[in-house]
Amino acid sequence: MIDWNRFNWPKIIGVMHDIESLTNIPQCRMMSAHILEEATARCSDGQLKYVGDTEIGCDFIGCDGLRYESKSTQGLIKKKGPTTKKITLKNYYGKCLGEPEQTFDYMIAFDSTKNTVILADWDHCIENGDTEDAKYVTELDVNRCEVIAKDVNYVAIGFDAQQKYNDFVSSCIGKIVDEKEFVMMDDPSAIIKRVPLEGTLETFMMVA
Amino acid sequence: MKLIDDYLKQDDVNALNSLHIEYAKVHWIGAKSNPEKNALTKLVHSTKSYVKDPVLGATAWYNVRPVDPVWHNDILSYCDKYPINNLPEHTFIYYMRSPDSGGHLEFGGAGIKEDWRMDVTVEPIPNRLVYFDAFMTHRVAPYEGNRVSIGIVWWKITPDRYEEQKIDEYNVLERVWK
Repeated sequence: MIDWNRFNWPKIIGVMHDIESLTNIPQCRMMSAHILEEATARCSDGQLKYVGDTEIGCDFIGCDGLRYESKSTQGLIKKKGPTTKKITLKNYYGKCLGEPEQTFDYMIAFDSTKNTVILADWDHCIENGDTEDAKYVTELDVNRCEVIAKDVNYVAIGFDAQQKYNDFVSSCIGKIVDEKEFVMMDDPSAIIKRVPLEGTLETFMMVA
Repeated sequence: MKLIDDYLKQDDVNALNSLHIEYAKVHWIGAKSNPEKNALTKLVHSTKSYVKDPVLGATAWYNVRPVDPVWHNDILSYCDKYPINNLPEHTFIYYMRSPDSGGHLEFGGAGIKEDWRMDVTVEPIPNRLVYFDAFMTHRVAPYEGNRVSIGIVWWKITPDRYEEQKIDEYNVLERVWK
């Protein structure tokens, strides 16, 4: 059995807040999830091992031999109603193939607004699961979840993760001789209109 | 040519105005498809009663701010050549928005020296339906403001610029004209 009280939750939730700005950059979302998962494993008092880099649909192996998946969402636990916000269990990136094969035994779900962490087993996740476009999503019944950390008083380092990422990108590219800033031509030959595929008539009239 | 003013009931006008669909596309509405799918399909199906011969389905499209309103007929907008034995009967135009000025529908064509045109023009008045022989060459006169209309043609066979369409289907298709 994993003893959730042995986790350093103030540090884990602190990391989650330190890297929050990365979740606003689409290409960094995977990276921010990875950082949180690494932090969770390293703050687990040796009870979780991060395996997300080699396994699909499973982020940790526990010392109990069970598989754990991590998800984090702002406002996960809704103010009203017994269920959480929708959590994507599987994104098929194309045609949704329905209920996914079991890849974990428990889901560790972080609410970055309430600084609370809940635990749900696979059956619970699947019971409330449904297809949504190319995704298979679920809503957890909060009353059935085990609350493993609640209203955590977190300890953040307080760095600018977005700046760190930008610095990292720049350091990978190195110095460019005679690098020029982008300047739009006075009379661009092509004006690209972003016509939404679907929308209201008023929206279409604005862009058509 | 026939004009029908106050064509739709207010509820249907409201539903059409708040419709959330792909406005830049052509909508194929099979003659035996579900009229209640949305407000557009309901409008299109309502015009079928003005067509005498059996039909396969209709194309419906929105006209919003045409870049270069030129003389055209809608058969040749959809077909590389006339479907001689299966010509559509009418072009239907339903008006949703009238411009601040101009924008009348004109009938005529490109002449040798200059364009010729009939005296009759159609003012774009919201909730007006007009239908005329699909062969008739027409264009929109210059205008200022927002003018929105829906064009509808009922086809006996699939227009030749499209893959075969079915009588009981509703499909969203690409525009095949400029």
